[in-house]
Formats: sequence, structure tokens, C-alpha cells
Amino acid sequence: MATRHVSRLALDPYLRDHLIANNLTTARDVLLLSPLDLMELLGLTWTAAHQLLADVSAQISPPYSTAYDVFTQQATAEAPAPLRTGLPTLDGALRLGVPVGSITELVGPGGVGKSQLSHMLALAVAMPEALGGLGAGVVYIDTERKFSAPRLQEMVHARVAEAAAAAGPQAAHVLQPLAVQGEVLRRVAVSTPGSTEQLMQTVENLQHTVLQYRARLVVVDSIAALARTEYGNPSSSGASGSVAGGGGGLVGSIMDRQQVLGRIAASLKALAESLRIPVLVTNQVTTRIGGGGGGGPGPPGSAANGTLTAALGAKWAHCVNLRLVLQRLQERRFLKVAKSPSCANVVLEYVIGPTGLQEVPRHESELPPVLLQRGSVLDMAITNEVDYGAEL
Amino acid sequence: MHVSSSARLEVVALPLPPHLRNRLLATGFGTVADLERAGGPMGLARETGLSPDEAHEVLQLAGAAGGPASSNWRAGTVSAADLLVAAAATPRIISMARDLDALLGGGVAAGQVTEFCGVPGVGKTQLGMQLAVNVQIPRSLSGPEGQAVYIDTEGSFMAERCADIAEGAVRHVQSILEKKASMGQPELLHDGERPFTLENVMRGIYLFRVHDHVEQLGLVNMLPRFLEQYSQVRLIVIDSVTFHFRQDFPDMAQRTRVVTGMAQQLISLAQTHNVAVVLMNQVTTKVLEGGGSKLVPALGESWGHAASTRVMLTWGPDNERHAQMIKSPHLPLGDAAFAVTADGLRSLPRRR
Repeated sequence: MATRHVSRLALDPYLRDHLIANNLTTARDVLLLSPLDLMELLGLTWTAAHQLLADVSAQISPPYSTAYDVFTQQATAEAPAPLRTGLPTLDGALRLGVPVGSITELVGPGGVGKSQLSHMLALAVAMPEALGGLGAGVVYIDTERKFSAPRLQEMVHARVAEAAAAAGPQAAHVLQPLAVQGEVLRRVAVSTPGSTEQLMQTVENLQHTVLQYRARLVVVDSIAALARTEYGNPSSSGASGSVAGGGGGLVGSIMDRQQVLGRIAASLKALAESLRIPVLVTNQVTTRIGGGGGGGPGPPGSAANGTLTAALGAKWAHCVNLRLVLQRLQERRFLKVAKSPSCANVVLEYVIGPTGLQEVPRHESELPPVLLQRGSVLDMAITNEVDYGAEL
Repeated sequence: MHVSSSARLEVVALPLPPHLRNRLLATGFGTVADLERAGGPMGLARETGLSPDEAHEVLQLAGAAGGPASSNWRAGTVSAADLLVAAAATPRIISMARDLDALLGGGVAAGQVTEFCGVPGVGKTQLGMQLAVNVQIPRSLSGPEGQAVYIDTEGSFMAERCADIAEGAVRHVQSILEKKASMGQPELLHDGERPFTLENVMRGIYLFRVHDHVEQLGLVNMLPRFLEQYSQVRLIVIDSVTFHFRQDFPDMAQRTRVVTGMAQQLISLAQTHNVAVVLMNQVTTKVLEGGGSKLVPALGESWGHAASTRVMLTWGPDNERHAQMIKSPHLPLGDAAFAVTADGLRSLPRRR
């Protein structure tokens, strides 16, 4: 790991002290130097400098596994299964659900159902196993103050009623909605960071929270809200311009924002990977502006027919492993897989019902052809990068 | 190392740590010729007060820098004719998309660094997995019959998807073998000790998951040792080379230096071990003078020298995936469309 301290590396004790005395305290400090730098700084010979680099590298390099090992390991029972979304077409395309160990992003205009889907997946994890859930915890990071306990409660009741109907009247007494509801809601840990700084902190502490709540899902709803309001390029009037300036309400420039987002993405990925859980992140949309670009970020997702694309730009889009685009077209709602390392770009239509999103079964041929186009404007993963430049 | 030079090479030009260099200069050793006349390691040690070990290393360096070069000027050079033969001897790694292979001059070449840049979702990871599978195509079908190292920095390597692609390739190879067998060449069915099956293909991909840029640098340092141990490896994929270098580097000059150093290591790795190095790069938005913006490969200008062949993957106006050759030492710049199917990368059906 990057911050591996030199004192914990197996090196010649004399050399180790020598490194620390020269302010090379972590593996990172050593590896960022070339052999020539090391010779100059430490007075090592050519071979000794190379040997040092090789020794440090050998101790911090990750081990390998063959693709076969990973493949067979995933087939065994103890490996965590992907999280079912309850949308048959999507589950089929994604091989049983939202993958563990990577970041899944939901993009869509306001009110299309991103938070609904997030709540629904949280429920799928928190419901007791007898009712088809995982009986595990959920960490819900809510930056837009949109988490709704009443909605979750409603969903629990709807699910319990469904299960009761399926089980028949004699099982009804076993399914106490209130008991289930209390159990489920206690499993959901909600955190509401108010600034990007707090969000960073929450993400850094996430490993403790996840283990504390025995969580099998982390939701960040949404990643864009804070980043888009706090960062931007200073407007033409001479607003201090410096990064530290608290004057214009901006914490930093777009460049800084991308740095922070990259760091958040990297820690979320590391978390997802090492704890083998899915991480779900929602993102807003932005209106694509052709030319110069206006001042602040525009109102998200209100334009009906302008070109909408995912917010946060190309760099962020590279960070997510799976991007699902939710969109509305003529009062109908569609969900589309826009970026995935493992599946085809499928489209499905859904409605929002009492239990959350419900798929409307239909054939691909019945879907509006504009949705099936690849690389089209609606294929937000493809068109959004150009916009982020215009958002400046 | 093989600097073609004479004995007049200055001591200050040798890669020596400062205390040794200063000691040599203080005792009057200005050029390599002086060192050669010092009477071996013992003599040099006596005159300068260096330890014999240090003196030995100084003379080794001086020898590598000046000595053999004067006696054997061919050392370290290869004739272009040999290069041509070597290039032809190592089969290229095909992508199974016919047009893309044609664009690449028959596939990804061994001994070279090839870079693919592209927007998210255009198929970089899919291409990486496809190449990791195809590098194992048996020699009887004029494949490289090697193995692959896959360095996953983004966590997007999906084993199930890779298995799909491998299955697709296995089926494809089977059908070719059967076709050949029906044409009276049945001996090709069992050609080597390693049959081209799903299990073998998956076992032939060594997967490294890298979590930060320090691990990535360390791993690149370690690759030569790994390749010595696993000599079957003919392909190294880094997907993506960019991700960890886009954060945690407040100092851009430092990043450029580190990234260029890594590029050098990869280039020499490709040449010395005759493996194909495939780098996946992200794209970044560049704001143009006029106020517009366009997508360019990430990591900046100096990184542009890292790969000898550079291909940009984009979505074409026809809503198909396109590969555009944007840099190559010998191939014409061009454009090829390809598709990602359930079985992996394939060409688009020919239109009439």
C-alpha cells in the first residue's frame, strides 16, 4: 500500500535508518524517485539503488490470481452473490444483479426514480431473509436530504403484503408488518454530510461504519449534489480566485473537484473490493451548452428536450464500473445499461409502484427506437464528456 | 548502457553516487582512461581509498560505458534484417474483429507498446479481455500460444464476462479445427500439451488487482522478474494505465516524470522479453482556444511518446464503435468499425 512505512519493510536496518534520515519514510517516497535520484540522495551505488527499488517493489506489489481462480471462486456458495434488483431484464443482463466489488452509478433527471431505486435496493438488502432479503445492513449516504424513512416503511409494508398474499391466509400471522419494519429500518444507517469535505470524511470512515452495521450495500445519493454546488470556476468578477477563498461560496475550481471525485471513487472502489459489497452511487444530469457556457451549474434535469447528459464529466465517468441511465420519454420511464464491462446495453421500461420500480414486460421491438441506438445523445455515457467542458 | 564512447569519457558522466564521484575527482581520476590505467580494483582502491568492492563497481561501470564499446562496436546493436525476421517470427495477437486487425497490421505486435484510448463504455476493457484470450490461440492456427498478464487498476475485470469471451474464442477455434479436419488435416486437432479449452484459457490469464499508484509502480518494477519466471507470457494489459495517476498528484511535473519513467520501463520490457504491452488510457476534456472543447487522451503530451502505436476508440456518427489509428511508425492512419457481441469483439457484418 502507498503509505506503507519504510520501518515496516524488510530492508537492511542500516539502509532503513538511512532512508528515514533522508525523509524517505514511505514506500511511495522511495518509488517516486528514479535510481539516479536515489544514488544522489543516499550515496548508493548503481546496483544498490536498483536493488533497493526492486526490494521495495517486491514487498508492496499485489499478489496475482489467475482468471480461472477468480471465476471458480465466484461460483462457490460462500462468495457474496450479486444484489438482485428485482427487474428481470436487468438482473438477467447483469448476471443476477448489481455486481459486488465495484461501483454502480445511476444517472437520470430529477424525479425519474434514482432515489426510488436506491431505496428499493437498500430494502432488498435489509429485508429479513425469510422475505427474500439478505438480512444485512445498509449504509445510506444522503447528500441531498432525500432519504425518506416513510417511503422505506411504505415499501416494507407493500413487500410484506405481497409476501402474505403469496403465502396464503394461514401464514399471515407470521408476517407482522410492524415487527419487520422495525427490524429493517434499524439496519439502515443514514449519514448526511453537508459538504464535500464531510463527504470525504464519511467515505474515509466508511470501512468502520460498514463493518459496524454488517452492511452489504453502500449507497451514495447523490455524488453530484455537493460537488456541483461547491466547485466551479470563479466568475468573471474578481472573486479571490485562490483555491482557499471562502468568498464566492466556492471551495475550488473544476480541476479541484475532479481531484476530489477521483479520490472518493478510489476509496469507494477499494472498499467495495476488499469488503466484497456493491457500491451504488447516483448522479445528476446537466444540460449541454453548446458554446461559451454560463456561470453556475444550471437547474438539474428540467429541460424536456434539450440534450441532457450525465454530470461530473469524463473523468468521473471513467471511475464508475457500471452506469445505468434512467430517463423519461413521453411520460414513460426507461432504464438503460449505458456502460458495463460485462453485459450488452439492454433497455427496459418500468413504472414506480408501491414496492419501488417495477418492470413493464415488453419486447425490445416495442421500445422507442431512439432508446436502442448506441452512442446516441441519450446514451449519456458517450455524450456527457463534451458537456462538462461547457459547464465551466 | 552501451554508450558508444571512447576512453576519454569523463568520470562525472558515469552513474556514480556523489561521494564516490568526488573521491575519484579529488584523487585525479578525470576520465575513464585514467581508471583503466589504475591497475585494477586493488590499485584503484589503494590510490583513492575506496573499498575494493566500490572500486570494482566503478571499474565495471567504466567498462560498460567505455571499454567493450571500443573493441566490439557491434555490441548492443542488431541489424534491421534481424529485426524484420524477429518481427515476422512472433505472431500477432488478433482481436477477432477483422477490420480492427487490418488497421493494426494484422493484430497487436509483440515487442511493442500499443495504447488504446477511449471514452467510458466504448469497450476498452472488453478489448483487453479479448486480447488476453486471443494471445493463447495455438500455434497450429498461427496464434502466439502464449499467456497474458492482466493488470486491473479500476476493478472492472469481470471473470464471468472473460469466460464468455473465452468460450466464444474456444468455439471459434473448434469450428476452424473441425473445418480443417474435414478438409483432411486431422492431425491439427491434438497439437500440443495445452489444448485450447475454457479452463486452460482462464488459467493462462494472470490477474493483478492494483489499488493505488504506488502498487502500480512497484508492480511495473517487478514485471521483469515475473516474466523470467513465467516465460509463456506474451501479453501484458494494463487497464487502465491512467486511473491512479489522475488523483493524488498535486505536482504535475512530478507526475510527468514518474509516468515517463514508467513508460520507459514498459518499452524496455516489451523489447527485452518480446511481449506485447497493451495500455488502456482514459480520455480527458481539453478546452480549446476558441471556447469549444474536445476529447484527448489523458496523461498529457509527454505520455504521447510512450506508445509506439496509438489507437483512439470512439463512437462513430453511425452509432457504431470505431477505432482510429492516430499514431503508428509504419501503418497508415485509418479507421475501422467493430462491434462488441456476446462472444466478444467482432467485425460488423459487411454491408452491400
